[in-house]
Amino acid sequence: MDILVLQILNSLFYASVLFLLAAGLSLIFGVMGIINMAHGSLYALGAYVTAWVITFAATAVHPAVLFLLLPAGALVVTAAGVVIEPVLLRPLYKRPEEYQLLITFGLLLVLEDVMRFVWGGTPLSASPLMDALGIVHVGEFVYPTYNLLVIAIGVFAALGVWAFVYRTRFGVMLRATSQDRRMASALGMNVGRVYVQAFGLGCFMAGLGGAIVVPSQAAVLGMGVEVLVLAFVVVVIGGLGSLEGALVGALIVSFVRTGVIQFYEELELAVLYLIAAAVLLVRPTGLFGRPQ
Amino acid sequence: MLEVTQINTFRGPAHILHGLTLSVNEQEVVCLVGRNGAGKTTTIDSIMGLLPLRSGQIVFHGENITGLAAHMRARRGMGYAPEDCGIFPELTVEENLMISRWLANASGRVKEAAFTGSDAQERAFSVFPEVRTLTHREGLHLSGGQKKMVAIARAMTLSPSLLLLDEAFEGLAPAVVTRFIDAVIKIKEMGISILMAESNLANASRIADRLYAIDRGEIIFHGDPKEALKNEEVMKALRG
Amino acid sequence: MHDARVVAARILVLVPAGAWVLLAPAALSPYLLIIWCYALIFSIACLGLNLVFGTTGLLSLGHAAYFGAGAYAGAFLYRFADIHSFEVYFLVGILTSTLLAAGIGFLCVRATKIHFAILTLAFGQIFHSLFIDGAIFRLFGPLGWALYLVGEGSMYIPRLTILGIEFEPEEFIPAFYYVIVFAFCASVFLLWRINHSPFGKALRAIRDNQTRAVYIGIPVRQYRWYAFTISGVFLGLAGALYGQLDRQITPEQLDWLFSAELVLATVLGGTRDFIGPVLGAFVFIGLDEIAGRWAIGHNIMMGLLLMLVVFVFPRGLAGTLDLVPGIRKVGLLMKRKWL
Repeated sequence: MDILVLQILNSLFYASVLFLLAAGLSLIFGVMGIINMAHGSLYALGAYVTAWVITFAATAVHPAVLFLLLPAGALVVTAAGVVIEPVLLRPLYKRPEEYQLLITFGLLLVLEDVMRFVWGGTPLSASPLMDALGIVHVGEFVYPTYNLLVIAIGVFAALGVWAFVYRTRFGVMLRATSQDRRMASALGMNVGRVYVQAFGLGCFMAGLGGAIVVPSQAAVLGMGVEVLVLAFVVVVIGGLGSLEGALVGALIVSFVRTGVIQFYEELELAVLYLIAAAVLLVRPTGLFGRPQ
Repeated sequence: MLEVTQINTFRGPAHILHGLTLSVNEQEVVCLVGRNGAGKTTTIDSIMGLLPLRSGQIVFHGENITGLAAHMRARRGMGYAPEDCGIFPELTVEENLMISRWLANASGRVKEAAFTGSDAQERAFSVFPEVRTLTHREGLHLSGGQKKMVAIARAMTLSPSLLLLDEAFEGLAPAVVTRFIDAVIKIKEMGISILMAESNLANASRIADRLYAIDRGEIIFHGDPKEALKNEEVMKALRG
Repeated sequence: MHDARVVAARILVLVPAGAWVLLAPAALSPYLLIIWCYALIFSIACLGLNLVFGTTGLLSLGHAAYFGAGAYAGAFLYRFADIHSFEVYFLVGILTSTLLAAGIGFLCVRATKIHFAILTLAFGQIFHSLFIDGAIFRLFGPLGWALYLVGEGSMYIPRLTILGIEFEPEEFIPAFYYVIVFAFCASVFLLWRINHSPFGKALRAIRDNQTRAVYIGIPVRQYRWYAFTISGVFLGLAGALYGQLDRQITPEQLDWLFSAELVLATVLGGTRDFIGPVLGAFVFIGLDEIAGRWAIGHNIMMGLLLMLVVFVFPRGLAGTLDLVPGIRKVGLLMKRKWL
């Protein structure tokens, strides 16, 4: 019984991180129609920056202050996103979508090497944050309290994004732009600015995902590429461009993953991709996707 | 208020507008009449800034707006209702109108007149009271006629000085067309000028103060609507 | 009727190229010869990919699976059936990858555009995960599992006998080089014929306007499937050659990043010209070598190059070279009918 609780917590932890990542990917696709191949690398960048800042500050400041530094990675990635969209993506909106995929793939390659040069091959972690919070007891097992914080952040992020998109002025404009970009501009919306903001928001979520994961799992080279394919699985199951889909997809992927690992570890990834492929074949727009 | 001079517009490689010139004055309804494919929509889109000009000039309220992006033109007082209405399908009618209210308030033009987006929306409702009952409906679930009304109401909520209406009567029953014609006259009385693209000369002649006939991207007639009805060549070009 | 200029152009291009290809083992150091072999193999893979990508307009991010299958099939055959003949290894590899491409392709061609890309990616990754997580090795009993644990999914392939001849280690590569050259020439010839057949024209029609292709009676989905399967043949062929040249095959050759590298090289060369993928593959392998030698980041270089191609040379190397009048002239003459 306790082990079940533990597994559920693990799944929720994983789902929180995946949701942040997939929701950003989905948001960018929903508004701009671009699949951002570099999304996983931006997540990794968020993880590295946070780990680096925390490691740097750990000796100097009180642990409570360290928590304020947690979003550093997210902010750096947002700043990167705000530069990337106008410089690399904007000239390509009118070109065939292969080119948009290629340019973001190029960005992925560049970011991977940049992280390799800056942080090298040694894993970098922000474990002081994890240690500061200690552990909780789940029956006879122990569980890191920090992971509960991550789950809470995931829940807040889901609610926050939902409220942002469905309850704010910017959210209405965002949805309007994603539904009819031409009409949005004819009504006086600065579509270019909406695009930068949407891309920045998507990047912020990716960076935040990386930042919150790094106190419990060290940042390593290749983590971004690995997680990108999982984020694809999530958005494919949930439906590209749908936030509800990203949430449900993240939960499905996390729980399935935890379950499969219990029974037949070797098939973990195969089962996830198989679900994604099956969803794409039966319902190409995913569970919550907008019909085309 | 609007002076379009010698514009040339391309769609991809196709040269659509050939040195087109037209103008709209204050408090005036101008109709642009032509067959399908004559270049009406291209003209409206060029004025709105949705298509780039190859050459020529567009002046609005004495300001050269030729190089301005569409959203800047909207903020200077152009309201636009496209042929397909452009209602955001997954937004409610209220949200569709909300966008216009915010943008009207943000444009700055409105503040000077102490006339807010809400006032503009009320004025739109006075023309189309039906829209008031539709506010909770999603754009996707509107009928063709309702979409046309919402599109015009939404453009009016921007508090424009000029409305660009592309085929506003298309697909409407004859009785409803009369209803819309009354609406257009009402809008004009509110001090808003209107440029309408219309394929039906009879409808156009019922409301137009002035009329341009367009064929193959060129203006072939300009003047009083009654003159157009008498002009053999215009009638021939419009019938095809 | 032979136009004198056509003959001249062909002699000008084909004689030096042929001489170079035949004499390469003598002219190149053993190390450079291997690099040159990789380039030829990589070009076959890119040409095969381009039948789906450039010609049919479907972006696949899962072609690494067919490449890897071409080598893995033979590797298992050697390990568990004790087969030492290159010919058997080669044919079984091609057959396996063809069947795999036919099966996966049948499902993938139901989607287009971005969905096609993600679907091929998902299937490619399923295949990849079966090797990297070892599920495939489980099928081969305890010995298979032990192999997985030792090699982490990679497999060894010995120097096989070519036409029944067992070559000495130092003679092997120069001899195998001619096998690669033969396979390269055969692939170029076959793909050229496919590209210029009515079938190839139909594929381009599908790419340019699917709706119109349906209206003129092209069975779109079926043709896409054929293209996908044929492309699997050439990927398997290239993979089998690669496995023998490298004498091992690893899950890295199955990963989507390798699929993306194939796409990258193809785009670099130009997807709309038949010879583009070959140029792209050569340049890709060359740059890879330079990056390795000068310790420049491989990825950063490829990434920047990709951006350069997308922004500055959207038609790729072949398309850009085509703008040079002299080269264009020769190219046109080369493209004339052979008879």
